[in-house]
Amino acid sequence: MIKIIFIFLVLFVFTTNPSYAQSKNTVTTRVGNPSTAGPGGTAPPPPDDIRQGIIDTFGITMSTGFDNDHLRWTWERLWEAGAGFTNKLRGARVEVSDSYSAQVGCFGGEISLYLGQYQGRDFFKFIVLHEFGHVFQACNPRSVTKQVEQMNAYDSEGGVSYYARNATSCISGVSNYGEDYADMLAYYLDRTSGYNSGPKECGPASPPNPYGNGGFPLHVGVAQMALQ
Amino acid sequence: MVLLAVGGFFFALSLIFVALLGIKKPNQEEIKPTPTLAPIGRPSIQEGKSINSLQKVEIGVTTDEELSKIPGIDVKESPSGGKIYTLPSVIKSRPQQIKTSSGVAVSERLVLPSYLSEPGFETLSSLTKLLGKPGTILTGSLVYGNYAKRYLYLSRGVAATVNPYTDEVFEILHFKPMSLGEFKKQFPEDSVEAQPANEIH
Repeated sequence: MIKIIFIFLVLFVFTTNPSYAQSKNTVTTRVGNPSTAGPGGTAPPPPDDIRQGIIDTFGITMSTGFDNDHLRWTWERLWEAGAGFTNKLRGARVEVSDSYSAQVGCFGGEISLYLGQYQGRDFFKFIVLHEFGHVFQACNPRSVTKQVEQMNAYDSEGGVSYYARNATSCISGVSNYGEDYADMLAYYLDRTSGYNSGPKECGPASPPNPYGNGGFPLHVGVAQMALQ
Repeated sequence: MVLLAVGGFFFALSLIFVALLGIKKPNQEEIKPTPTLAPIGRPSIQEGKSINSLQKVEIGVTTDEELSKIPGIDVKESPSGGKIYTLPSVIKSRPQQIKTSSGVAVSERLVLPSYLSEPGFETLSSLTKLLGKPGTILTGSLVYGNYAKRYLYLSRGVAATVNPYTDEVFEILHFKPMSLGEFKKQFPEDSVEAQPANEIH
């Protein structure tokens, strides 16, 4: 009986509320945090202060040492990669380096990543994906990154690139599985790319994208799950 | 205006109803005890406790005969003498592994799952609560990547491969207590140290 009275009251209140009647034919605009769908697709023009725009939009702090070109390319790449990637990088701090790149930390205020300012827009944008891929893997739990699933994909299909298959012999102490993970995401998020994320002497400079012609279906499946 | 006032009155009344319906007596059955590490197999780390629920052996005690009775276990001769037993883990190429020498277990490698719902899932904070601060920390893993750390409790015969950023434990290796030098000699793969991978593109 109480429930019937309650339902009646709720219906009465809603139907007699003037704002309800008005809202039926209006579009509501929400102000506040951006949609979780977030960036993706084509990047809009960057704001005048690109560095601040990257902080505001993605929660990623690039050091003041990056020049405007590399900041703009990073802005573009993060937009294109989409929220499934960038939402798991929030809090990252990126320091410019002379020539090398390395993941060194996570989101606790310390430097997450050293990133070189490589020349060539498309190549730099590919390396951004690979290096942020290391941060993505190291700084999120395996239930999110699907690292175990990626390792099993590697065991079944092999590494997606020459570097992923030979990283340990190219750079002492580097894990093939780890480089495969970063390349798995990089090639997935840049399907037109055929660059080598490893050192110049480690594999061909312009290999074909491994996912062409239905290649590495297990890796593709893992990348899709991780980027949800 | 009158319609609005009446609506407001009934709205307030409905809020009172909602509040009354929301009050619920605590159910004693819903209060669950804090989970503790259950002793599985024979405990070796601490009296009454195993290091992880996947643990199968007590170092220096569990025999080849006992191990051979575990359902699904595979065995092969070790090149250095003794036997190597394996059981499937979540990573196909990295099974659970037990090594024996002179008929008894000398080490056991436990590969832990990545999902909380899976048996054997372990957090780093629960491990350090059990074992305290590690005596030695090594950086890098050829299997899991350069960000992984190895927490060594050599006097207790435990080495854990962990991700301190995410509070996860990837693997636990247990063995008889030994020095760092002896550990590096006996477990070279688990002793690899790596600086952050400086990739020069």
